[in-house]
Amino acid sequence: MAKKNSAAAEGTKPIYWKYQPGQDNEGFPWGPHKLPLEMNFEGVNLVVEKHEGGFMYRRESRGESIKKVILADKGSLLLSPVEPFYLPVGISNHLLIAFEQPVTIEPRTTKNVLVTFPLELVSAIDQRKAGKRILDTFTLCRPKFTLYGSIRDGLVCKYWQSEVHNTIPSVNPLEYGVMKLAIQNTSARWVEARKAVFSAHGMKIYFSQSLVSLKATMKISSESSAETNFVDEPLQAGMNKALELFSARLISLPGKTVMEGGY
Amino acid sequence: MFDWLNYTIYGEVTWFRLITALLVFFAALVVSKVLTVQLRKTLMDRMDKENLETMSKVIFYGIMVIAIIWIMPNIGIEPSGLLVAGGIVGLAVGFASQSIIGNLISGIFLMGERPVKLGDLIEISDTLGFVEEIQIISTSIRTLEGNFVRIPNETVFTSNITNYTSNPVRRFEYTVGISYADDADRAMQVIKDLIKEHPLALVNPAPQVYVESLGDSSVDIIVRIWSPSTEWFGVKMEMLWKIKKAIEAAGIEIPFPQRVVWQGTDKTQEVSPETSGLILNSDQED
Repeated sequence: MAKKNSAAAEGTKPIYWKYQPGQDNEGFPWGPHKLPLEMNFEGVNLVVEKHEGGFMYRRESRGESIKKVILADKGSLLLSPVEPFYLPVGISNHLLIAFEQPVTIEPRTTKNVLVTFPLELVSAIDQRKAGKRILDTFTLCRPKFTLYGSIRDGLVCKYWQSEVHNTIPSVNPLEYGVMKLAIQNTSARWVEARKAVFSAHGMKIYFSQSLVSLKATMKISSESSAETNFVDEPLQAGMNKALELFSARLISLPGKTVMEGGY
Repeated sequence: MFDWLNYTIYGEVTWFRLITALLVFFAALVVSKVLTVQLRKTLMDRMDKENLETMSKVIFYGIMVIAIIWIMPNIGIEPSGLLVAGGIVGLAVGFASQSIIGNLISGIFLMGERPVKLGDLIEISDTLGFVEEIQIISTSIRTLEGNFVRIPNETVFTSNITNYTSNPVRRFEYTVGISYADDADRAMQVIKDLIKEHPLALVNPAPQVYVESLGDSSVDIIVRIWSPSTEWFGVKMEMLWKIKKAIEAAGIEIPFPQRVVWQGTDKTQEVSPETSGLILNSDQED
């Protein structure tokens, strides 16, 4: 809930926001915000204050402290959810979502389920002419990794365990996104899915003030293999597209992941 | 109709022999060209560009030299004289370049087999380090101390190579000894909680924490953790100290090696260190 408080950044109205489970939350103000500014949300204190020749960016959260000097006369700051593959950096380009409840699907049918996925957040400075520049990446989720496949040639994946929902669950939009996963069983047998692996490339994340979403497909073709991909659509009308850091870097890489080590 | 083929042009060279020589020459040219183009395509991603170019040229000119020697008699040049002179030179060069040729051939095989690639952490001939460069003659390694080591490819090819990063994940293990007076279940739970907290201690393959043995001085708990190969050493260093601190914070003792020594007359008395014996460090027992 946004409300007034004493301003650390001179001349700004501090923004306070806290997620309240099970209640109607006032949406999170992702921005863009005029500089200078001060924000406090979910234990994160983010300040951009005037500094010699520009601004000083500071973020403090969970014992971590970041400071950066911004040499610019003007600009705005925006926050955006991004693909959860930066913290720690360079470990993995895949996300494995383990379903808390295995999903059994009848032959030759497609069923939709909703699962959660972890988020990372970026703060970026934006100028009309110069465009956006990422300043900082952080997360409110605790990262965890796992191996998918064999020790010889498996994939190290970011690990996430999620309940399987029928309707959009109420989650903190700064911590978790909601993925609508269309599971298609193309085989002639019943199958049971316990996990799904997704690539970092081509993740199409959309966000509104109260929801971060992603649409994906999982095509099960045999008893041991499946294929996942992303759909470039928001879960609800009026959502904004999040910054795509992976796709921007490697445009040619597809979002498709072939799961040959079972599901 | 083809009688003209037997007409002599000069010496013993006929039109037939001359045409045969030309055909062999052009065939060799085509074969060597196709071979080098295919080689460049196949090894483009596996080899340094400069080395690949050198190897292509060696193969190209090698085939052409063999072809030219082969067609020399057809054009009236007897290669035996050349071979005698060339043989002596070749013998001398052969001896001198024996190791170079060995390294070169080993380099070609290494590039095909690819037991190591750039950036891998390997141990070879008692040298542990990261592969910096794989060239046609030698492989360069940067040791963990930051030294540059050049290893001839023949040594690389014929030695046992341990590649610590060829698999995506790697396991490490500790033995944690706790006092007999403490609860091993509790100690194991403390360790499991720590592993669960650490992002780079993998969920799968699952970590193992169990009592392995009842030692002389302690109950020995084995801790086995899998981690991404690239992060293995950092996690290993970090976790051991965290486990030590967490176990002590939980009030569990990590005992020193100790031995209870009974004196002969104590056998009839009640067993207790206070009444009957001495507790000595293992160093003192002799």
